[in-house]
Amino acid sequence: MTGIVWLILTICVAFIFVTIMAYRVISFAHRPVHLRWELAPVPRDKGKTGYGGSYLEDFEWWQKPRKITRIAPVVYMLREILTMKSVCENNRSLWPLSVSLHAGIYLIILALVFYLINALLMIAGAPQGVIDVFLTITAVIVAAGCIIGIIGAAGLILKRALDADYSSYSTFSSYFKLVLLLAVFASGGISMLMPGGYALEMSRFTEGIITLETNISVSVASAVHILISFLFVLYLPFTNMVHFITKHFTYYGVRWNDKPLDGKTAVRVKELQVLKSNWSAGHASEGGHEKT
Amino acid sequence: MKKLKLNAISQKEKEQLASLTLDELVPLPPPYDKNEGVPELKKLTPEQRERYACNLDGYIALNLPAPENKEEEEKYVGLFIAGLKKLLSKENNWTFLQPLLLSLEHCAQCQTCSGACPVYIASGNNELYRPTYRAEIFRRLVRKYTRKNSKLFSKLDGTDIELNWAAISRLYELSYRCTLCRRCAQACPMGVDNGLITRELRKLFSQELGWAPSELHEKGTVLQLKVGSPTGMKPAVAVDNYDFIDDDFSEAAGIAIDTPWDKEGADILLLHSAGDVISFPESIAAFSIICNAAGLSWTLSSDISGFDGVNYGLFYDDIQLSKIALGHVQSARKLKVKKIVMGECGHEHKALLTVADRLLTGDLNIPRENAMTFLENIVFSGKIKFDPSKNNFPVTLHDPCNIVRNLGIVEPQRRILRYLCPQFREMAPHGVDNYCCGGGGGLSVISGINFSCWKVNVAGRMKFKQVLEAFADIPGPEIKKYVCAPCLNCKLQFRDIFRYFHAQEKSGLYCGGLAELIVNAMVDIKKPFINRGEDS
Repeated sequence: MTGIVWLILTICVAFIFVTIMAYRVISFAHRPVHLRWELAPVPRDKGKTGYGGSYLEDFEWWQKPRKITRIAPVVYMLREILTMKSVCENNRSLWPLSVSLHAGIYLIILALVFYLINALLMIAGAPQGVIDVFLTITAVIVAAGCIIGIIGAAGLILKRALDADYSSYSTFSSYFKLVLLLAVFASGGISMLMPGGYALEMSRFTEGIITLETNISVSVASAVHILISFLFVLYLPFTNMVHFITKHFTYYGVRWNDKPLDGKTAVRVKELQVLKSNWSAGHASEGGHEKT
Repeated sequence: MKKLKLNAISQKEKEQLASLTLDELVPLPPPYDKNEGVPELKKLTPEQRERYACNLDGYIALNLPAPENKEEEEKYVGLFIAGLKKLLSKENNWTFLQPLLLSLEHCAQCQTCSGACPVYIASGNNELYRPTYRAEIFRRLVRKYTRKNSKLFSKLDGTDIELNWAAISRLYELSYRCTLCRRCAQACPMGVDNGLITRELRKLFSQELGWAPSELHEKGTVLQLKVGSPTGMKPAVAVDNYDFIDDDFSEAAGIAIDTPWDKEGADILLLHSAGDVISFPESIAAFSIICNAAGLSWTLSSDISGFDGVNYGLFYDDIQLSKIALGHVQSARKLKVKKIVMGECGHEHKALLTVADRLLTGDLNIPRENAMTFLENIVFSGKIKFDPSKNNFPVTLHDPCNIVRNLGIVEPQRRILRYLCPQFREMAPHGVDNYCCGGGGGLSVISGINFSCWKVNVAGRMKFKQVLEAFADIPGPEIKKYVCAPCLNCKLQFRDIFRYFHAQEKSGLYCGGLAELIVNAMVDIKKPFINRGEDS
C-alpha cells in the first residue's frame, strides 16, 4: 500500500468513528426526560457513600442544602472499570476472562497514547536515549496487552461456545466482536515478534499521520494489524461495545439521577405531558386520563 | 438436564416449559432442610389446565383464559406487536423510554445478573427464571418487530423468536415471576436493568392488551380509583375502622389513642396503606400513639384518594400509577399540609417519593417524607421516653427493596433499632444488598390458582434462608424472634412464608413493623404492645 493511502485511510477511519460515536451520543442525550428510576448505592451524598445511603434519609431534606461529593462517583466508576467488581462478586467464573479482555484493551489504548508520545518526541528531536526508553516501555505495554488480551478474548470465545449458560444466548455478533478483538490482539502480538521493532514502527506510523507524511511505510505484519484494528474501530460504534460511553447515561442519567424535580425538568415534563398516547386497553383511553 | 432454549418460548403451545420439585430448590437450614412436613408443590388439576393458559411452569398467577379460537390468538399477537412499537415511542412511553432503550441496547449476555437474582438462585438455577431469559426474548422480539432499518444487524443479533400465542401467554406469566427487586440491575456492569424490562413488559400487556392480574388491576388500582382502596374500603368505612383500632388499642395499650381526620393546615398528612388497617392494625395504632405522644400536628385524610397510600400502578401500569399518585397529592393539597409522610409501605415510598416526583409539578410538589426518617426524628427528639429493655428479645431487620435499594434509605431505621432493641442483629447481606422478601413487584397480593405455593417456596426462599441464618445461634421455638419488616407487602409475604413452613411453631419466628417496636419501648405504655407468639 502506498504511503498516502495510509494517511487517507487513517484520517477517514478516525473521522467515521468520531462522527458515528458523536451521532450515537447525541441521540442518547436527546431522548426525552424520564421518570426517576434511581438505584442505590448512589455514591453522591457525603458521609453516606460507604453504605449506599441517600439524601432522602435526612429529616426534611428539602429544607437544607445537599452535601455532595464529586470524588465518590469517580472512584466507584474507576473501581468498576478497572476491577469489574460486580462481575467478581456475582459471576466469579467469568471474571478472570472478562478482566483479561478489558485489561488487554486498556493496555492497547495506553500503547496508542505512548505511540503518540513517542511520535511527538521524535518530531521534537528528543535525545535518542529518551526515545529508546519510551519505546521500551511501549513495547512492554503492547506485549502485555496482547498476551492478556488474547487470553481474555480466546477464553471468552470458548466460554460462550462451550458453556450452555452462554451458548444459547450468544449470536453471531457476540462471537464476531470477540473474534475481531482476538484478531487485533493476535496480529499485534505477531507484529511484535517480527524483526524491526514494532514499537518503533508504530510510533513512526503515528508520526507520519501527525505530520501528514505521504510516504508512510509499515511491514506486512504491522499493516495487517493496523487494518484489522481499523475494521474493529469502524465496527465498534454499531455494537454494545459503546458501553464505555453509554455507562455515563445508564449510571449518571438513570441509576444515579436522583435529583428532585426542578424548574427546568418541570418544563420538559409539561411539554411531554401534552403528547397524545394511543394505548388500546380500556383504562388507557378513559376520558381525559390517557396522558401520563 | 437439557438447557431451556430461548426459542422454546414459542414452541409446543400446551406444554410446560419447566417444572419444579422441592429437591431442586436451594436447601434451607435445619429444621427445614429435609422438606419434612412441607407440603408438596401444589399442582394444577386437569380442569384448571384446560381452562387457563398454563404452559409455563405449572403455576398460574394470572388466570389467563385459554383463547377460544385462532382469531383471538392472532388478535392478541397483533396487539402485542403494536404494544412493542408503542413502548419504544416518545408519545406513548416518554416516562421510561431512555432507561428502557439503554437496557435493551447494551446487554452483553454475561449472565452476571443471574448470580444476584434471588428467584433464579432459589429455584436451583432454573433457566426459566434467569433474568436474561425473559429479557433476551423480549429484546429479540423488539429487534424483529420494531427495527425496520437495520435488518442485517437484527439478523446478526438474533431474531429467532417466533411470536405466537404460546410466546405471549408464556411471557405474560413469566413477567410475574420477577419481584422487580432490581438486584440484577445492581450487579450489571453495563447498567442494564432487567427489573425495568420486566416492568415494561407488564406495562405492554396492561396498557395495550388490557391484561393484568386482577389483584393489581380490577381489584387493585381500578377499585382504588373508584372507592378509595384496593381493600374495597370506602372513606366512611376507613374512618370507622380507625375508630375501632383506636378503641381496641387504647384498651390494650392502656393509653388513650385518638386519630385526627381532615385537619386543614396540619403540618403532616400521614398516608398509611389501608391494608395495614385490615392485616396489621397494630402498625396503624402505633403510628397514632407515636404522633400523639410527640405532640405533632398531624392528620389523616378521608378524601377518596387520600386515605390509602398504596399504588399498585408502580408494578405494571404508568396510567394507573400517575392517576393514583396525583390523587394522593391532590388530597394533601386540599388539606394544605406542610408535608406528606408515608406509612410503612415500601412501594408507596418509591411511587410517591421518587417515581412520580417529576409528575408533581407546580403546587402539586408538596414535600414528601419517608417513614424511617420521620420515626427516627421523633425517637431521638427527646419528646418520648423509652426503655429499651422492654424490647430485650432477638430482632433482625428486613430491608424492603423499595425503601432501601431503590431509595437509599438505610440507616435511620437501624439507628432506631440499635437504640431500642438490645438484641438487634443484621441479616447477611443487608442494606442496599438485601434479598427481596419474595413478595415484591405486587407478588405478595397475587394468589392466582396455585401461585402462593411458588411465591413462598421460590420467590421468598432466599429471604427465609437469610432470616433463619440470622438467628442460627438460637434456632429453636422457645425463644421468640422478631423480624422487623417496615413494609406491608413484605409483612404479608413473611406471614405467608411463616405459615407455610410453620415457622412460628418450629422456630419462634414472627413478623411486625418498626413502629410497633418503638411503642413497645415507650415508658408510658405499661402493657406490652407486641404480643409475641400470636400469629400476625
